[in-house]
Amino acid sequence: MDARDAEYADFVRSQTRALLRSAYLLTGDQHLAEDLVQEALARTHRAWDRLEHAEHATAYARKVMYHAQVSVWRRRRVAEILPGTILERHGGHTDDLAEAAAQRVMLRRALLALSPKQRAVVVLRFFEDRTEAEAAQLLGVSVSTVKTQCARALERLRHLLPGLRTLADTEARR
Amino acid sequence: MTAGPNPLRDALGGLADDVEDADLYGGALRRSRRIAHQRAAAGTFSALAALGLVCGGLWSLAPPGGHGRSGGATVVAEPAPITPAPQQSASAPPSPTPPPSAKIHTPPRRQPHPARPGTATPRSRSLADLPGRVFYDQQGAQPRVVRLDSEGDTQTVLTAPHTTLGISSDGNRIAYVQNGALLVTATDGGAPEQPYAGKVSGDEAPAWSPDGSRLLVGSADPAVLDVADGTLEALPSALAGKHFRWSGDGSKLVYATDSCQLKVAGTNPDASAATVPAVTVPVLGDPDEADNPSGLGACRPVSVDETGSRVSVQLRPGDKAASAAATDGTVAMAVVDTATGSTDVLPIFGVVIGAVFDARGDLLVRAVHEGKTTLSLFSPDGTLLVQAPEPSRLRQLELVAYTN
Repeated sequence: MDARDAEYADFVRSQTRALLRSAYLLTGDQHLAEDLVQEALARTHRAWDRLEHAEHATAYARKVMYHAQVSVWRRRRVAEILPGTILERHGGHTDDLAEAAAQRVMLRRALLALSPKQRAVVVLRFFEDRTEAEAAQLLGVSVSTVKTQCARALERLRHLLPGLRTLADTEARR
Repeated sequence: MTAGPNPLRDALGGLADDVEDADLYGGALRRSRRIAHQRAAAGTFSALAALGLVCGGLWSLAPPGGHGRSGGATVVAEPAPITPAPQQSASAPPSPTPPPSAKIHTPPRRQPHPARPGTATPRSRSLADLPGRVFYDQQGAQPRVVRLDSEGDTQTVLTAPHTTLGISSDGNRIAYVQNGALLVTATDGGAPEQPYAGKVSGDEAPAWSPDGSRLLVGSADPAVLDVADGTLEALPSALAGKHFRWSGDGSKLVYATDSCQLKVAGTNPDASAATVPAVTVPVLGDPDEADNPSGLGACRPVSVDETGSRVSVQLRPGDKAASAAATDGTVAMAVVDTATGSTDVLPIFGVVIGAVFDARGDLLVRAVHEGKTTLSLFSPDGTLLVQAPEPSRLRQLELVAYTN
Protein backbone atom coordinates (compact mmCIF):
# COMPACT_ATOMS: atom_id res chain seq x y z
CA MET A 1 0.00 0.00 0.00
CA ASP A 2 1.54 3.31 -1.06
CA ALA A 3 1.24 6.58 0.85
CA ARG A 4 -1.76 7.69 -1.15
CA ASP A 5 -3.65 4.49 -0.42
CA ALA A 6 -2.66 4.65 3.23
CA GLU A 7 -3.98 8.18 3.53
CA TYR A 8 -7.23 7.17 1.92
CA ALA A 9 -7.52 4.14 4.21
CA ASP A 10 -6.98 6.38 7.24
CA PHE A 11 -9.61 8.75 5.92
CA VAL A 12 -12.13 5.94 5.48
CA ARG A 13 -11.44 4.56 8.94
CA SER A 14 -11.79 7.94 10.59
CA GLN A 15 -14.88 9.12 8.75
CA THR A 16 -17.02 6.05 8.16
CA ARG A 17 -18.77 6.07 11.53
CA ALA A 18 -19.76 9.74 11.33
CA LEU A 19 -20.92 9.39 7.74
CA LEU A 20 -22.90 6.27 8.58
CA ARG A 21 -24.73 8.04 11.39
CA SER A 22 -25.90 10.80 9.07
CA ALA A 23 -26.63 8.33 6.28
CA TYR A 24 -28.75 6.24 8.62
CA LEU A 25 -30.92 9.26 9.37
CA LEU A 26 -31.16 9.99 5.66
CA THR A 27 -32.13 6.46 4.64
CA GLY A 28 -33.55 4.85 7.77
CA ASP A 29 -31.83 1.58 7.02
CA GLN A 30 -28.47 0.04 7.85
CA HIS A 31 -27.85 -1.41 4.41
CA LEU A 32 -29.02 1.64 2.50
CA ALA A 33 -26.87 3.79 4.75
CA GLU A 34 -23.87 1.59 3.98
CA ASP A 35 -24.63 1.83 0.25
CA LEU A 36 -24.85 5.59 0.46
CA VAL A 37 -21.64 6.01 2.42
CA GLN A 38 -19.82 3.54 0.21
CA GLU A 39 -20.88 5.55 -2.84
CA ALA A 40 -19.65 8.77 -1.23
CA LEU A 41 -16.35 7.17 -0.23
CA ALA A 42 -15.88 5.69 -3.70
CA ARG A 43 -16.41 9.03 -5.41
CA THR A 44 -14.10 10.64 -2.89
CA HIS A 45 -11.53 8.02 -3.86
CA ARG A 46 -11.94 8.99 -7.51
CA ALA A 47 -11.30 12.62 -6.53
CA TRP A 48 -8.59 11.84 -3.98
CA ASP A 49 -5.72 13.30 -5.98
CA ARG A 50 -7.55 16.62 -6.22
CA LEU A 51 -8.30 16.89 -2.52
CA GLU A 52 -5.19 18.22 -0.88
CA HIS A 53 -6.25 18.15 2.76
CA ALA A 54 -8.26 15.79 4.92
CA GLU A 55 -10.88 18.45 5.65
CA HIS A 56 -11.38 18.93 1.93
CA ALA A 57 -11.94 15.21 1.53
CA THR A 58 -14.40 15.20 4.40
CA ALA A 59 -16.34 18.11 2.96
CA TYR A 60 -16.30 16.49 -0.45
CA ALA A 61 -17.53 13.13 0.85
CA ARG A 62 -20.38 14.77 2.72
CA LYS A 63 -21.34 16.85 -0.26
CA VAL A 64 -21.40 13.77 -2.49
CA MET A 65 -23.41 11.84 0.08
CA TYR A 66 -26.09 14.49 0.41
CA HIS A 67 -26.25 15.05 -3.33
CA ALA A 68 -26.56 11.33 -3.92
CA GLN A 69 -29.33 11.09 -1.35
CA VAL A 70 -31.46 13.80 -2.92
CA SER A 71 -30.71 12.91 -6.52
CA VAL A 72 -33.30 11.15 -8.59
CA TRP A 73 -31.87 7.68 -8.47
CA ARG A 74 -31.92 7.62 -4.70
CA ARG A 75 -35.30 9.09 -4.11
CA ARG A 76 -37.17 5.89 -3.57
CA ARG A 77 -34.33 4.21 -1.74
CA VAL A 78 -35.58 4.57 1.79
CA ALA A 79 -36.35 1.88 4.29
CA GLU A 80 -39.73 0.34 4.88
CA ILE A 81 -40.40 0.57 8.57
CA LEU A 82 -41.40 -2.65 10.19
CA PRO A 83 -43.04 -2.09 13.57
CA GLY A 84 -40.92 -3.43 16.32
CA THR A 85 -37.72 -3.61 14.34
CA ILE A 86 -35.77 -1.58 16.81
CA LEU A 87 -37.71 -2.96 19.77
CA GLU A 88 -36.51 -6.39 18.81
CA ARG A 89 -32.96 -5.16 18.46
CA HIS A 90 -33.09 -3.90 22.04
CA GLY A 91 -34.88 -6.94 23.40
CA GLY A 92 -38.22 -5.22 23.81
CA HIS A 93 -38.66 -6.19 27.41
CA THR A 94 -37.48 -3.25 29.50
CA ASP A 95 -40.16 -0.58 29.83
CA ASP A 96 -37.90 2.49 29.63
CA LEU A 97 -35.79 0.99 26.90
CA ALA A 98 -38.88 -0.09 25.04
CA GLU A 99 -40.36 3.37 25.34
CA ALA A 100 -37.17 4.98 24.06
CA ALA A 101 -36.96 2.48 21.24
CA ALA A 102 -40.59 3.09 20.33
CA GLN A 103 -39.91 6.79 20.15
CA ARG A 104 -37.01 6.14 17.84
CA VAL A 105 -39.22 4.05 15.59
CA MET A 106 -41.71 6.89 15.42
CA LEU A 107 -39.01 9.43 14.73
CA ARG A 108 -37.52 7.23 12.05
CA ARG A 109 -40.90 6.75 10.45
CA ALA A 110 -41.56 10.49 10.58
CA LEU A 111 -38.20 11.27 9.00
CA LEU A 112 -38.91 8.89 6.16
CA ALA A 113 -42.22 10.62 5.57
CA LEU A 114 -40.32 13.79 4.69
CA SER A 115 -39.08 14.50 1.21
CA PRO A 116 -35.39 13.66 0.64
CA LYS A 117 -34.46 17.32 0.63
CA GLN A 118 -36.46 18.07 3.78
CA ARG A 119 -34.82 15.11 5.50
CA ALA A 120 -31.40 16.28 4.41
CA VAL A 121 -32.07 19.76 5.76
CA VAL A 122 -33.27 18.40 9.11
CA VAL A 123 -30.21 16.17 9.45
CA LEU A 124 -27.83 18.97 8.50
CA ARG A 125 -29.44 21.60 10.71
CA PHE A 126 -30.43 19.59 13.78
CA PHE A 127 -28.10 16.59 13.79
CA GLU A 128 -24.90 18.00 12.30
CA ASP A 129 -25.58 21.48 13.72
CA ARG A 130 -24.88 23.18 10.42
CA THR A 131 -25.89 26.78 9.85
CA GLU A 132 -28.41 27.57 7.16
CA ALA A 133 -25.62 28.88 4.94
CA GLU A 134 -23.54 25.74 5.44
CA ALA A 135 -26.53 23.51 4.72
CA ALA A 136 -27.28 25.51 1.60
CA GLN A 137 -23.71 25.18 0.43
CA LEU A 138 -23.62 21.44 0.99
CA LEU A 139 -26.91 20.86 -0.77
CA GLY A 140 -26.19 23.34 -3.54
CA VAL A 141 -29.36 25.33 -2.93
CA SER A 142 -30.11 28.82 -1.72
CA VAL A 143 -30.46 29.73 1.93
CA SER A 144 -34.09 30.60 1.35
CA THR A 145 -34.67 27.07 0.07
CA VAL A 146 -33.11 25.68 3.22
CA LYS A 147 -35.37 27.89 5.33
CA THR A 148 -38.44 26.85 3.40
CA GLN A 149 -37.62 23.15 3.48
CA CYS A 150 -36.78 23.35 7.15
CA ALA A 151 -40.04 25.07 8.05
CA ARG A 152 -42.05 22.53 6.08
CA ALA A 153 -40.13 19.65 7.60
CA LEU A 154 -40.70 20.87 11.13
CA GLU A 155 -44.37 21.41 10.42
CA ARG A 156 -44.66 17.88 9.14
CA LEU A 157 -42.74 16.48 12.09
CA ARG A 158 -45.07 18.31 14.46
CA HIS A 159 -48.01 16.70 12.72
CA LEU A 160 -46.48 13.22 12.69
CA LEU A 161 -45.00 13.39 16.16
CA PRO A 162 -47.43 15.24 18.41
CA GLY A 163 -45.30 14.28 21.38
CA LEU A 164 -42.38 16.14 19.88
CA ARG A 165 -44.33 19.36 19.46
CA THR A 166 -42.34 21.07 22.16
CA LEU A 167 -38.97 20.28 20.67
CA ALA A 168 -40.11 21.23 17.18
CA ASP A 169 -41.40 24.53 18.48
CA THR A 170 -38.10 25.04 20.21
CA GLU A 171 -36.20 24.36 17.02
CA ALA A 172 -38.42 26.62 14.98
CA ARG A 173 -37.47 29.57 17.15
CA ARG A 174 -33.74 28.99 16.77
CA MET B 1 -25.80 27.05 15.92
CA THR B 2 -26.64 27.32 19.54
CA ALA B 3 -25.15 25.04 22.13
CA GLY B 4 -26.91 23.53 25.11
CA PRO B 5 -29.98 21.30 25.36
CA ASN B 6 -31.44 20.46 22.01
CA PRO B 7 -34.24 17.89 22.13
CA LEU B 8 -34.43 17.28 18.40
CA ARG B 9 -30.68 16.88 18.11
CA ASP B 10 -30.71 14.48 21.04
CA ALA B 11 -33.53 12.48 19.48
CA LEU B 12 -31.74 12.32 16.14
CA GLY B 13 -28.51 11.40 17.89
CA GLY B 14 -30.28 8.58 19.68
CA LEU B 15 -31.67 7.28 16.43
CA ALA B 16 -28.28 7.55 14.73
CA ASP B 17 -26.79 5.44 17.52
CA ASP B 18 -28.75 2.51 16.12
CA VAL B 19 -26.53 2.29 13.08
CA GLU B 20 -23.93 -0.43 13.28
CA ASP B 21 -20.30 0.03 12.35
CA ALA B 22 -19.23 -1.32 9.00
CA ASP B 23 -15.94 -1.71 7.18
CA LEU B 24 -16.55 0.00 3.86
CA TYR B 25 -12.96 0.37 2.68
CA GLY B 26 -12.90 -2.62 0.36
CA GLY B 27 -16.37 -1.94 -1.00
CA ALA B 28 -15.54 1.70 -1.65
CA LEU B 29 -12.42 0.75 -3.60
CA ARG B 30 -14.34 -1.77 -5.69
CA ARG B 31 -17.08 0.77 -6.37
CA SER B 32 -14.43 3.36 -7.27
CA ARG B 33 -12.98 0.99 -9.85
CA ARG B 34 -16.44 0.31 -11.29
CA ILE B 35 -17.04 4.04 -11.62
CA ALA B 36 -13.75 4.37 -13.47
CA HIS B 37 -14.67 1.53 -15.81
CA GLN B 38 -18.13 3.00 -16.45
CA ARG B 39 -16.63 6.36 -17.27
CA ALA B 40 -14.09 4.80 -19.57
CA ALA B 41 -16.83 2.83 -21.31
CA ALA B 42 -18.98 5.93 -21.63
CA GLY B 43 -16.03 7.81 -23.07
CA THR B 44 -15.48 5.08 -25.65
CA PHE B 45 -19.16 5.15 -26.51
CA SER B 46 -19.10 8.93 -26.91
CA ALA B 47 -16.14 8.68 -29.24
CA LEU B 48 -17.91 6.02 -31.29
CA ALA B 49 -21.05 8.12 -31.37
CA ALA B 50 -19.09 11.15 -32.53
CA LEU B 51 -17.33 9.00 -35.10
CA GLY B 52 -20.70 7.76 -36.28
CA LEU B 53 -21.85 11.31 -36.71
CA VAL B 54 -18.73 12.26 -38.62
CA CYS B 55 -19.00 9.19 -40.84
CA GLY B 56 -22.66 9.92 -41.39
CA GLY B 57 -21.79 13.46 -42.40
CA LEU B 58 -19.09 12.34 -44.78
CA TRP B 59 -21.36 9.73 -46.24
CA SER B 60 -24.09 12.24 -46.85
CA LEU B 61 -21.57 14.40 -48.74
CA ALA B 62 -20.70 11.55 -51.06
CA PRO B 63 -21.83 12.16 -54.64
CA PRO B 64 -24.83 10.30 -55.91
CA GLY B 65 -23.87 7.07 -57.57
CA GLY B 66 -20.76 6.08 -55.59
CA HIS B 67 -22.11 3.84 -52.90
CA GLY B 68 -25.36 4.59 -54.55
CA ARG B 69 -28.52 6.18 -53.37
CA SER B 70 -29.65 2.76 -52.48
CA GLY B 71 -27.37 3.13 -49.50
CA GLY B 72 -29.11 6.29 -48.48
CA ALA B 73 -31.45 4.57 -46.14
CA THR B 74 -28.50 2.99 -44.41
CA VAL B 75 -26.83 6.38 -44.13
CA VAL B 76 -29.83 7.81 -42.43
CA ALA B 77 -29.79 4.95 -40.01
CA GLU B 78 -26.07 5.19 -39.23
CA PRO B 79 -26.20 8.09 -36.79
CA ALA B 80 -28.59 6.05 -34.69
CA PRO B 81 -25.93 5.34 -32.02
CA ILE B 82 -26.27 8.98 -31.08
CA THR B 83 -29.75 8.46 -29.78
CA PRO B 84 -28.88 6.66 -26.53
CA ALA B 85 -26.89 9.71 -25.49
CA PRO B 86 -29.44 10.86 -22.90
CA GLN B 87 -28.37 8.01 -20.65
CA GLN B 88 -24.71 8.82 -20.96
CA SER B 89 -25.01 12.56 -20.56
CA ALA B 90 -25.04 12.09 -16.80
CA SER B 91 -22.06 9.80 -16.64
CA ALA B 92 -19.78 10.71 -19.51
CA PRO B 93 -16.28 11.57 -18.36
CA PRO B 94 -14.81 15.02 -18.71
CA SER B 95 -13.46 15.43 -22.19
CA PRO B 96 -12.25 18.37 -24.19
CA THR B 97 -14.92 17.67 -26.76
CA PRO B 98 -18.24 16.74 -25.20
CA PRO B 99 -20.53 14.42 -27.13
CA PRO B 100 -22.63 16.33 -29.61
CA SER B 101 -25.83 15.49 -27.81
CA ALA B 102 -24.69 16.45 -24.33
CA LYS B 103 -26.16 19.92 -24.38
CA ILE B 104 -29.37 18.81 -25.96
CA HIS B 105 -30.13 16.51 -23.07
CA THR B 106 -28.93 18.71 -20.28
CA PRO B 107 -31.23 18.20 -17.30
CA PRO B 108 -32.93 21.14 -15.63
CA ARG B 109 -30.52 23.25 -13.65
CA ARG B 110 -30.93 25.22 -10.50
CA GLN B 111 -29.93 28.80 -10.01
CA PRO B 112 -26.15 28.79 -10.22
CA HIS B 113 -25.54 31.36 -7.60
CA PRO B 114 -27.99 31.08 -4.75
CA ALA B 115 -28.02 34.67 -3.64
CA ARG B 116 -29.88 34.78 -0.36
CA PRO B 117 -31.85 37.57 1.23
CA GLY B 118 -29.62 40.09 2.91
CA THR B 119 -28.78 38.85 6.36
CA ALA B 120 -25.47 40.59 6.85
CA THR B 121 -25.28 44.18 7.96
CA PRO B 122 -22.53 46.14 6.24
CA ARG B 123 -20.17 48.15 8.35
CA SER B 124 -20.70 51.01 5.95
CA ARG B 125 -23.24 51.92 3.32
CA SER B 126 -21.10 54.66 1.84
CA LEU B 127 -19.06 54.28 -1.31
CA ALA B 128 -16.56 56.66 0.26
CA ASP B 129 -15.56 53.85 2.63
CA LEU B 130 -14.57 51.56 -0.22
CA PRO B 131 -10.83 51.37 0.41
CA GLY B 132 -9.71 50.31 -3.05
CA ARG B 133 -10.25 51.31 -6.65
CA VAL B 134 -12.69 49.67 -9.04
CA PHE B 135 -12.02 49.36 -12.75
CA TYR B 136 -14.65 49.09 -15.45
CA ASP B 137 -14.37 48.43 -19.15
CA GLN B 138 -16.51 49.73 -21.95
CA GLN B 139 -16.27 48.29 -25.43
CA GLY B 140 -18.00 49.46 -28.57
CA ALA B 141 -17.71 52.68 -30.50
CA GLN B 142 -16.19 54.58 -27.59
CA PRO B 143 -13.93 52.13 -25.80
CA ARG B 144 -12.63 53.25 -22.44
CA VAL B 145 -11.51 52.02 -19.08
CA VAL B 146 -12.94 53.86 -16.11
CA ARG B 147 -11.65 53.88 -12.55
CA LEU B 148 -13.99 54.41 -9.61
CA ASP B 149 -11.98 55.86 -6.75
CA SER B 150 -12.72 55.56 -3.09
CA GLU B 151 -14.17 59.05 -3.02
CA GLY B 152 -16.85 57.91 -5.47
CA ASP B 153 -15.31 59.84 -8.33
CA THR B 154 -14.83 58.26 -11.72
CA GLN B 155 -11.95 58.85 -14.04
CA THR B 156 -11.28 57.55 -17.53
CA VAL B 157 -7.83 55.96 -17.53
CA LEU B 158 -7.72 54.49 -21.04
CA THR B 159 -9.41 55.52 -24.26
CA ALA B 160 -7.37 53.44 -26.71
CA PRO B 161 -9.25 50.70 -28.61
CA HIS B 162 -8.62 47.30 -27.08
CA THR B 163 -9.98 43.80 -27.35
CA THR B 164 -9.09 42.75 -23.83
CA LEU B 165 -7.15 44.04 -20.85
CA GLY B 166 -5.70 43.32 -17.44
CA ILE B 167 -5.19 45.62 -14.46
CA SER B 168 -2.09 45.21 -12.30
CA SER B 169 -2.76 44.27 -8.68
CA ASP B 170 -1.64 47.70 -7.46
CA GLY B 171 -4.00 49.36 -9.93
CA ASN B 172 -1.24 51.44 -11.47
CA ARG B 173 -0.86 49.78 -14.85
CA ILE B 174 -3.06 48.44 -17.61
CA ALA B 175 -1.99 45.81 -20.10
CA TYR B 176 -4.21 45.63 -23.13
CA VAL B 177 -4.32 43.98 -26.52
CA GLN B 178 -4.78 46.13 -29.60
CA ASN B 179 -4.76 44.50 -33.02
CA GLY B 180 -2.73 41.60 -31.64
CA ALA B 181 -0.16 43.87 -30.00
CA LEU B 182 0.37 43.83 -26.26
CA LEU B 183 0.60 47.33 -24.80
CA VAL B 184 1.17 48.54 -21.26
CA THR B 185 0.33 51.97 -19.93
CA ALA B 186 0.09 53.64 -16.55
CA THR B 187 -3.38 54.40 -15.23
CA ASP B 188 -2.32 57.94 -14.39
CA GLY B 189 -1.37 58.73 -17.96
CA GLY B 190 1.65 58.44 -20.19
CA ALA B 191 2.45 56.84 -23.52
CA PRO B 192 1.89 53.12 -23.90
CA GLU B 193 4.84 50.76 -24.22
CA GLN B 194 5.02 47.49 -26.10
CA PRO B 195 6.93 45.03 -23.91
CA TYR B 196 6.67 42.19 -26.44
CA ALA B 197 7.13 42.58 -30.17
CA GLY B 198 5.19 39.49 -31.18
CA LYS B 199 1.49 38.92 -31.54
CA VAL B 200 -0.69 37.89 -28.63
CA SER B 201 -4.22 36.58 -28.50
CA GLY B 202 -7.07 39.02 -28.11
CA ASP B 203 -9.17 36.27 -26.58
CA GLU B 204 -6.97 36.02 -23.49
CA ALA B 205 -6.93 38.92 -21.08
CA PRO B 206 -3.34 39.61 -19.99
CA ALA B 207 -2.95 38.53 -16.36
CA TRP B 208 -0.48 40.40 -14.19
CA SER B 209 1.64 38.54 -11.69
CA PRO B 210 1.08 39.89 -8.18
CA ASP B 211 4.40 41.71 -8.16
CA GLY B 212 3.72 43.27 -11.54
CA SER B 213 6.89 41.92 -13.12
CA ARG B 214 5.28 39.36 -15.42
CA LEU B 215 2.26 39.00 -17.65
CA LEU B 216 0.54 35.79 -18.55
CA VAL B 217 -0.62 36.15 -22.13
CA GLY B 218 -2.03 34.02 -24.87
CA SER B 219 0.55 33.75 -27.59
CA ALA B 220 0.80 30.64 -29.77
CA ASP B 221 0.29 28.94 -26.41
CA PRO B 222 -0.19 30.42 -22.96
CA ALA B 223 3.09 31.98 -21.94
CA VAL B 224 4.65 34.17 -19.29
CA LEU B 225 6.20 37.45 -20.38
CA ASP B 226 8.88 39.21 -18.39
CA VAL B 227 7.70 42.80 -18.72
CA ALA B 228 11.15 44.28 -18.11
CA ASP B 229 13.16 42.36 -20.71
CA GLY B 230 10.42 41.14 -23.04
CA THR B 231 11.33 37.45 -22.83
CA LEU B 232 8.51 35.03 -23.30
CA GLU B 233 8.43 31.58 -21.69
CA ALA B 234 5.73 29.10 -22.61
CA LEU B 235 3.87 27.33 -19.85
CA PRO B 236 4.45 23.59 -19.54
CA SER B 237 2.44 21.77 -22.16
CA ALA B 238 0.67 19.82 -19.42
CA LEU B 239 -1.13 23.02 -18.47
CA ALA B 240 -3.55 22.87 -21.36
CA GLY B 241 -6.12 25.53 -20.77
CA LYS B 242 -7.04 29.16 -21.05
CA HIS B 243 -7.84 32.24 -19.02
CA PHE B 244 -4.98 31.78 -16.56
CA ARG B 245 -5.19 33.84 -13.38
CA TRP B 246 -2.68 34.25 -10.57
CA SER B 247 -3.57 33.97 -6.91
CA GLY B 248 -2.86 37.09 -4.87
CA ASP B 249 0.27 35.59 -3.31
CA GLY B 250 1.48 34.25 -6.65
CA SER B 251 1.57 30.65 -5.41
CA LYS B 252 -1.19 29.32 -7.66
CA LEU B 253 -2.45 29.57 -11.20
CA VAL B 254 -6.12 28.91 -11.87
CA TYR B 255 -7.33 28.27 -15.39
CA ALA B 256 -10.20 26.74 -17.34
CA THR B 257 -10.34 23.81 -19.72
CA ASP B 258 -12.36 23.50 -22.89
CA SER B 259 -14.91 21.41 -21.00
CA CYS B 260 -15.41 24.23 -18.49
CA GLN B 261 -13.55 22.58 -15.67
CA LEU B 262 -11.27 24.60 -13.43
CA LYS B 263 -7.72 23.58 -12.67
CA VAL B 264 -5.29 24.83 -10.06
CA ALA B 265 -1.54 24.60 -10.56
CA GLY B 266 1.18 25.49 -8.11
CA THR B 267 3.85 27.91 -9.24
CA ASN B 268 7.57 27.85 -8.80
CA PRO B 269 8.67 31.09 -7.13
CA ASP B 270 12.06 30.82 -8.79
CA ALA B 271 10.71 30.52 -12.30
CA SER B 272 8.10 32.13 -14.42
CA ALA B 273 6.43 28.89 -15.34
CA ALA B 274 3.95 26.94 -13.29
CA THR B 275 4.76 23.58 -11.83
CA VAL B 276 2.73 20.55 -12.72
CA PRO B 277 0.57 18.61 -12.26
CA ALA B 278 -2.48 20.77 -11.89
CA VAL B 279 -5.40 19.52 -9.86
CA THR B 280 -8.99 19.73 -11.04
CA VAL B 281 -11.54 21.61 -8.98
CA PRO B 282 -14.28 19.10 -8.17
CA VAL B 283 -17.87 19.36 -9.37
CA LEU B 284 -17.56 22.15 -11.95
CA GLY B 285 -17.70 20.85 -15.47
CA ASP B 286 -18.16 17.31 -14.20
CA PRO B 287 -20.67 15.62 -16.52
CA ASP B 288 -21.61 13.09 -13.85
CA GLU B 289 -24.97 14.17 -12.45
CA ALA B 290 -24.30 12.47 -9.15
CA ASP B 291 -21.26 14.66 -8.57
CA ASN B 292 -22.59 17.74 -10.30
CA PRO B 293 -26.39 17.61 -10.06
CA SER B 294 -26.72 21.25 -11.04
CA GLY B 295 -24.59 20.82 -14.14
CA LEU B 296 -22.39 23.76 -13.25
CA GLY B 297 -19.45 24.62 -15.43
CA ALA B 298 -16.94 27.45 -15.23
CA CYS B 299 -15.43 28.44 -18.52
CA ARG B 300 -13.65 31.61 -17.46
CA PRO B 301 -12.00 32.30 -14.12
CA VAL B 302 -12.03 36.04 -13.49
CA SER B 303 -9.91 36.50 -10.40
CA VAL B 304 -8.40 34.49 -7.59
CA ASP B 305 -8.14 35.24 -3.89
CA GLU B 306 -4.86 35.56 -2.04
CA THR B 307 -4.12 31.84 -1.64
CA GLY B 308 -5.96 30.24 -4.53
CA SER B 309 -8.66 28.75 -2.33
CA ARG B 310 -11.47 30.76 -3.92
CA VAL B 311 -11.99 31.97 -7.42
CA SER B 312 -14.64 34.08 -9.09
CA VAL B 313 -15.82 32.59 -12.34
CA GLN B 314 -18.18 33.20 -15.19
CA LEU B 315 -20.64 30.35 -15.38
CA ARG B 316 -20.88 28.31 -18.53
CA PRO B 317 -22.83 30.18 -21.19
CA GLY B 318 -25.86 28.30 -22.40
CA ASP B 319 -26.51 26.50 -19.14
CA LYS B 320 -30.02 27.12 -18.00
CA ALA B 321 -28.55 28.03 -14.65
CA ALA B 322 -26.46 30.78 -16.13
CA SER B 323 -29.24 31.92 -18.42
CA ALA B 324 -31.72 32.09 -15.57
CA ALA B 325 -29.40 34.17 -13.45
CA ALA B 326 -28.19 36.45 -16.16
CA THR B 327 -30.24 39.43 -17.14
CA ASP B 328 -29.90 42.09 -19.79
CA GLY B 329 -27.21 40.13 -21.55
CA THR B 330 -24.95 40.04 -18.51
CA VAL B 331 -22.97 36.95 -17.58
CA ALA B 332 -23.82 35.07 -14.41
CA MET B 333 -20.99 34.86 -11.91
CA ALA B 334 -20.16 32.66 -8.96
CA VAL B 335 -17.46 32.37 -6.34
CA VAL B 336 -16.11 28.86 -6.09
CA ASP B 337 -14.17 27.02 -3.40
CA THR B 338 -11.34 25.39 -5.33
CA ALA B 339 -10.99 22.53 -2.84
CA THR B 340 -14.58 21.32 -2.94
CA GLY B 341 -16.13 23.00 -5.98
CA SER B 342 -18.83 24.53 -3.79
CA THR B 343 -20.25 27.87 -4.78
CA ASP B 344 -20.28 30.53 -2.09
CA VAL B 345 -23.57 31.73 -0.77
CA LEU B 346 -23.27 35.48 -0.48
CA PRO B 347 -25.59 37.46 1.79
CA ILE B 348 -26.74 39.90 -0.85
CA PHE B 349 -29.86 40.59 -2.83
CA GLY B 350 -30.18 40.10 -6.54
CA VAL B 351 -28.23 38.59 -9.37
CA VAL B 352 -24.45 38.65 -9.19
CA ILE B 353 -23.09 40.13 -12.40
CA GLY B 354 -19.52 40.73 -11.26
CA ALA B 355 -17.18 39.40 -8.61
CA VAL B 356 -13.49 40.20 -8.34
CA PHE B 357 -10.87 39.57 -5.69
CA ASP B 358 -8.04 41.91 -4.90
CA ALA B 359 -4.61 40.50 -4.13
CA ARG B 360 -5.35 40.38 -0.39
CA GLY B 361 -8.47 38.32 -0.87
CA ASP B 362 -11.10 41.01 -0.37
CA LEU B 363 -14.04 40.26 -2.64
CA LEU B 364 -15.99 42.95 -4.47
CA VAL B 365 -19.39 41.78 -5.67
CA ARG B 366 -21.56 43.63 -8.13
CA ALA B 367 -25.23 42.66 -8.05
CA VAL B 368 -28.42 43.86 -9.66
CA HIS B 369 -31.68 43.86 -7.77
CA GLU B 370 -34.88 45.48 -9.01
CA GLY B 371 -32.98 47.53 -11.54
CA LYS B 372 -30.46 48.88 -9.05
CA THR B 373 -26.81 47.92 -8.98
CA THR B 374 -24.91 47.64 -5.73
CA LEU B 375 -21.30 47.04 -4.85
CA SER B 376 -20.54 44.88 -1.81
CA LEU B 377 -17.07 44.40 -0.40
CA PHE B 378 -16.34 41.32 1.70
CA SER B 379 -13.21 40.66 3.70
CA PRO B 380 -11.56 37.23 3.33
CA ASP B 381 -13.41 36.00 6.44
CA GLY B 382 -16.75 36.97 4.89
CA THR B 383 -17.37 40.18 6.80
CA LEU B 384 -19.44 42.61 4.76
CA LEU B 385 -17.35 45.75 4.94
CA VAL B 386 -19.14 48.06 2.53
CA GLN B 387 -22.37 47.86 0.60
CA ALA B 388 -23.36 50.86 -1.46
CA PRO B 389 -25.20 51.77 -4.65
CA GLU B 390 -23.02 51.92 -7.72
CA PRO B 391 -23.09 55.23 -9.59
CA SER B 392 -25.63 54.90 -12.38
CA ARG B 393 -23.14 56.24 -14.95
CA LEU B 394 -21.24 52.95 -14.66
CA ARG B 395 -24.25 50.80 -15.35
CA GLN B 396 -23.42 49.84 -18.92
CA LEU B 397 -19.76 49.11 -18.18
CA GLU B 398 -18.22 45.78 -17.26
CA LEU B 399 -16.52 45.30 -13.90
CA VAL B 400 -12.98 44.09 -14.57
CA ALA B 401 -10.89 44.58 -11.42
CA TYR B 402 -10.72 45.76 -7.84
CA THR B 403 -7.35 46.83 -6.49
CA ASN B 404 -6.28 47.92 -3.07
